[in-house]
Amino acid sequence: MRTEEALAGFCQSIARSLPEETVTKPVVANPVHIDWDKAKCSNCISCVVVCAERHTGTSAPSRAHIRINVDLLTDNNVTAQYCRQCADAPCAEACPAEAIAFDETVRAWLVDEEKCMACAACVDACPYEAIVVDPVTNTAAKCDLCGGAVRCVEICPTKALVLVGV
Amino acid sequence: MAKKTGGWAGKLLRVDLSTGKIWTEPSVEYGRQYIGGRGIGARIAWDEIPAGVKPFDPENRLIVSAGPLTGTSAPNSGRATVCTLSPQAYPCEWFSYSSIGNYWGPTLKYAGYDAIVVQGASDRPVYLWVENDKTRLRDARELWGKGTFETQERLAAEHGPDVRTLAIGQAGENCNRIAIIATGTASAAGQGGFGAVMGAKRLKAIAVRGTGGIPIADPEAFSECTRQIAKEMHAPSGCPKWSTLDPDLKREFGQRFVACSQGCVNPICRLSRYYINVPGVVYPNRKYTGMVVCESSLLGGAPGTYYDWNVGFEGGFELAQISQDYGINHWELGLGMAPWLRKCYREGLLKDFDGAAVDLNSAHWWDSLFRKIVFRQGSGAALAEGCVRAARILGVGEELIPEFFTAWGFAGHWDGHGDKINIIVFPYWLVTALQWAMGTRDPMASGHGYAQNIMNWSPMFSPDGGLGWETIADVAANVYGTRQAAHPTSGYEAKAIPAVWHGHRSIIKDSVTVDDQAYPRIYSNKTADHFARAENGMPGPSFEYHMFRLATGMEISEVEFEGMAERVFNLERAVQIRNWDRSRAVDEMVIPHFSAIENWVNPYIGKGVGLDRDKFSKLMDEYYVLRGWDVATGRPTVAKLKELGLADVAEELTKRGLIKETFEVSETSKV
Repeated sequence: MRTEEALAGFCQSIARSLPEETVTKPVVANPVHIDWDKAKCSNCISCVVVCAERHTGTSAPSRAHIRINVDLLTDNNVTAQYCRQCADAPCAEACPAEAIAFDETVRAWLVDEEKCMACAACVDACPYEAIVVDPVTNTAAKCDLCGGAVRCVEICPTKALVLVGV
Repeated sequence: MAKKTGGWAGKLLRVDLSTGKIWTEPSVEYGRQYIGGRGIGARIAWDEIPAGVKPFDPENRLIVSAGPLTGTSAPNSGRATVCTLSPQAYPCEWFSYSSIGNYWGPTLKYAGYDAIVVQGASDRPVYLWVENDKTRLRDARELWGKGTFETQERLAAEHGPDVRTLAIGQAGENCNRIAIIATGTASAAGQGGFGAVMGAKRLKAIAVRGTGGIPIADPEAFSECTRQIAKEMHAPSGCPKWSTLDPDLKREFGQRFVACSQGCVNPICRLSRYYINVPGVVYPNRKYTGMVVCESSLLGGAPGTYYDWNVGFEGGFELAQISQDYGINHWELGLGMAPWLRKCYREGLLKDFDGAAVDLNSAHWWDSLFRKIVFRQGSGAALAEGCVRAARILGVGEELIPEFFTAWGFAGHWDGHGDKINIIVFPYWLVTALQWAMGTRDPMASGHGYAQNIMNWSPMFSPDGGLGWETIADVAANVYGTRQAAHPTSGYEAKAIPAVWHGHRSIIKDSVTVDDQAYPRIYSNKTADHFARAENGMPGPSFEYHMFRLATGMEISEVEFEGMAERVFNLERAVQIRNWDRSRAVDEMVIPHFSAIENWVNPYIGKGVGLDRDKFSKLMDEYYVLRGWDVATGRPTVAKLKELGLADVAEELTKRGLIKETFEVSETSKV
């Protein structure tokens, strides 16, 4: 807890040192986010499919908010793209429409589809390639922690996905 | 408002290699009648493979189908089923099936298809390239002669790393009857020799990229359903034998437990392991990378068993990779051909093996065996026909064949006689015997549900004592209606019920599609009564039904769902009857194999027993009666086929004089 307090204090001190208009967004000290353990991942991609089902009503990995990539033939190297719910959320920072905001209840950054203009500034800003413009809805789409019961974490058979910051 | 339909992708992709024509047809009606996968295959076989067609004829259809749950979040799913005429099947090259895992099936669905049906034959090597709705046949002369690994690598280089490919190796090209269709580094439609069907059609590969999605009829409820099932399946202590995923297992060569198939990390088996850069023994300058799963591990030998050869881990891994690359059937090699050759050699029936000794402890010997088979060199020309045919061709060791091969040209599997690694005792292999009798191949690929489930949970197999025999019988009563179906002292009593029930479950698994090792869910040590249930009370054996219902939106009862499986089972039988005159007399061909004394002893009996012909004959009567089939001929009656919505099938079989209106039950065979 001490680190968090220190971090909060640090954020506030930075905030104080910045010009007034840049501190309109809330300072997020402890968002909840999913974390992925490469060593445990079995590349079954259940998390990807269940995410797509939860958010699009279809089993469409191409529309999921978490991606697992695996090279099946040469070394079975697995990589994952998923949202860290960054405290300083570059996606929210980059959004000209202020469509991405931190939700205190879910403790995650959520996209307001009404405000989103699908400009993809957030896509470019995200260092984790974890936000996309959905080809069907044509709005930015990212991990919303399923509003509470996080499906990808629940379905993961090897516990490679966990929730951090709960 | 029309009710939402989901699960199925909606289209069949049809390809005629003779004309180069490619077209699509709607698939949902196939799905609503025959579920998907193996069910679609059976209907197309009935409609389009007339009697007289042989596996290598252009008229033969190669049907590769996914199912309504393939590519969804259904836990332990992700497979596809290959259906076609089987070059391996003996004595008749009849219609059969084989399931294949990895990521190909889901990708096919994401591309928008439930199945691909290939007919005709190309005059030059081609591969089918499917990219969502863009499909074309492409020249494969550059790929011809390459193994399954290089073929996949080249196609990934050409079309992108997310392409999933079914490929044949040199074995399939050379029409070996034990050739597989492969994907990834360890997955295969292995049994049946289907790689040779692709070879005869000069179809080197089917490469697919799918970037779309599958609609789900009720996503909210489906998601909750798969969550419940995942929880039941993935929580610790599934099955006592295999449940431990030891984090401290050696990480040499980067060993990792990986999914065999998309969505399939089965805590029951935990059999699939991936290794990187394992040095070769036969080819020391090579390094091998890939997965080994289940029987491919056996190429290295299993010390302390009948398969006690030992080529070391590196040698066994190398052999698994080499044979997968050539595209030959691991089960045939490990459980049939090699032990048969060794026994022939030891007994002096085989003086030498093309001038050399038969030495299963030598990785070099295995490697030379593979090359002989794949390129049909020396005695390999005969062995490429499969071991059962080879014994006849070579005129060697035919009398030893029944010791390793159960029936229909396939090596033993959970039969207590031919298969010497999976421990099973009387009376449990009676159910297996019925499954083999009614089958077209080794029926265990989707028929593990009875034998393996019971033996794994039993005190004989589980290091910690399992559930105990009495508990197993109690749980089984929930499923089969009687404890006698699974009690160790029950003998011939109530064995037809589980054979029929698992026959249907096998169809369901290969049609929806889900993994054979994980379903149907029956036993558990997470519930007080040891009957598997999800947290919300959903019974284990109903998992497939609920996922099917919610994904597809079909409003049917569980009984009607099982009726769909029964429809497919009868349709497969109808194809057997029309094209190969299948009858009870053919079914009974399994009897001699099972009449030998079993490999292990039931502790309640105290000595090994073999099949009693008269008692088994009565059991077969019971089986046919339960199925509504004629007891004398072992064929469905007209009434039964009509009841199952197969009136057109009944009509054709009647016209040909192959089936009767109803059957008469003789006094002796009354159940």
